[in-house]
Amino acid sequence: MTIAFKPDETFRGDFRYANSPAAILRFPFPFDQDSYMYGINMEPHTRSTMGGAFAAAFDVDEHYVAECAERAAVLAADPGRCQVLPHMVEAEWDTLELIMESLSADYPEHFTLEREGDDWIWTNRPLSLHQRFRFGDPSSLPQSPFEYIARQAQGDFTLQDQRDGTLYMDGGIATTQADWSLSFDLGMTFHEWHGPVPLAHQKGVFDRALSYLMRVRYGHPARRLNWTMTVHPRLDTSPENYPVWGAGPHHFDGGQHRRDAAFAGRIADILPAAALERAAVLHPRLSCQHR
Amino acid sequence: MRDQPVLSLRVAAAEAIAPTLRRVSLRAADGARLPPAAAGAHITLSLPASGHARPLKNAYTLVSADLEHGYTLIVRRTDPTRGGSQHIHEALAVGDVLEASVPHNLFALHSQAKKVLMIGGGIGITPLLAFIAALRARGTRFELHQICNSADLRVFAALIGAQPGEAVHLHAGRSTFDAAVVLGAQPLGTHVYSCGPAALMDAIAAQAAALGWPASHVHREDFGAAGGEPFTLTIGTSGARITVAADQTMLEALEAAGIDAGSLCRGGACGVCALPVRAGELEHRDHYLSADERQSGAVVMPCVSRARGDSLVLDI
Ligand code: FES
Repeated sequence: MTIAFKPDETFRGDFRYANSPAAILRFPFPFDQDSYMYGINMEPHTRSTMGGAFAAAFDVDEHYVAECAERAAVLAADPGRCQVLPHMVEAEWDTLELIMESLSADYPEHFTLEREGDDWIWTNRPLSLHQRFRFGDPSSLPQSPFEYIARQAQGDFTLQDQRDGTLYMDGGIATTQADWSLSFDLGMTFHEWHGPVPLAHQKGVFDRALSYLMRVRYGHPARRLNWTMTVHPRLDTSPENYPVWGAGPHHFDGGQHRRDAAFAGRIADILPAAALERAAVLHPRLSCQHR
Repeated sequence: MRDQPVLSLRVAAAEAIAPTLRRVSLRAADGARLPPAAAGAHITLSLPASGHARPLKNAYTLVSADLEHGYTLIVRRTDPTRGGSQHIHEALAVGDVLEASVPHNLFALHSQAKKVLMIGGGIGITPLLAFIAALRARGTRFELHQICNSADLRVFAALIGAQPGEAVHLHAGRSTFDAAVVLGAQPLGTHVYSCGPAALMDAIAAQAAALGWPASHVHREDFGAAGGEPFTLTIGTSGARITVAADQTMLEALEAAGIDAGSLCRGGACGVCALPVRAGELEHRDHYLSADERQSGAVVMPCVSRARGDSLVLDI
């Protein structure tokens, strides 16, 4: 599965971004209805054997290099986009292990993980990274283990601690979010951080979703698709940067802007982190924008 | 560790640590690094058992999980009619390969506990040994009360290896352990974990409730209730009969019989797999149906729910 990366794409300013026909074909368009409402669309992450966005544990597509550069730019301007509470340190290492094992197994031509006990060597060819480190020793990596690996994956992640019969968002990285703030939500329970979502609470969606999530088992990942619409292919639609993007044209009515309309889909991979096991890694993945 | 629900484990060491206790170390059969497991996790081993056509599946707590050196279990020889432990004591040898589930944890330590109180009965010491190691590493204050036969006292004391200043209490029998006194003396923010015979765990839960402990601070060992008793499913329209095995869901049995019931979450949350019921009593395990719908008994979520009897007739 060799991927032709497009490192020159941008998600701001001149918005140099487009999908190749192949990228559009591999997108998991789930349009089996004419209208949509909040619902429980979580399902076991069964790998598709025919390629496409469901073939890997963590999907990597042609925008990988450009999206990683965009994430680095957002973090440089606002380091608060990545925060993890101190008790989640095991979940940080779990996340690093899970992503490194998954990427190297799913994309061996792009990623390699070599291990000798706790001495690990990680090679990320698309980003030209070659890192020796000691698993469990944060001083052997340039960033915290979670930030280090999340900078090398597409889409946002949250680390959730399961306790008191709910999930707490006790860590995360959010640089491609649909207008939610990690700084605001950090430490909140599942129902608290979903508080602003209209309609779905009354339908019991979050009660059922929480029950389901708390039963996701290690080794049995789950996924769900959700969708957002933006005018430009801007990944950083954060509350922190609302003055930058919220004031711009965001209607579909202007002729000039219509061709810039972007359509974004997210695949959330939900994986229980291992060492804590009752901690979940939620991985909302921004997968496609086209115009 | 990627989605790989079944592990193949090789017995790396096995030794008797007491006449009825055997300690077993398991490593990945292919020498790979094992999936991590937090304190309190268990694995389910498939064990051959004489007189049974299918292997028995028994859950065992991990006493320790060293990813390079393996998972360690301590197994008590139980009543010979429960074949799994008997196999571990009498037949299991170094080099044997067993099939196991990946670790699963329904008895995890609370990350915010100010103090952890552990109460173990007999072989219920196994998760507590894992807890002690984790709490020492974390620097969290703990107190342990382990109840055992006088014959096991010395072995258990050696397994715990109490360090100076640690609040470790071994009780030879229930008579010297007073749950009301121990629970009543705990500071605010303590979480209690009990593991052992159901009667002991029930008594701890009742005492904690009587003293006004919040339910969220009271934990007991749980291996989860995945399967259940086998039962027979009858398809109303055709009269076809399908057996649902103890370790199979109704949905899996229908699919194995070539009936595509439709499903999405396979965890009782989405409602997609709902099937109408003509007759039979139900054990609802989903989080989808309302109380009224449960009461009516007219619909069931076959991905998680079961019959509460030996037969169920579906209206399909
Ligand atoms: S498949 Fe979702 S409730 Fe059964």
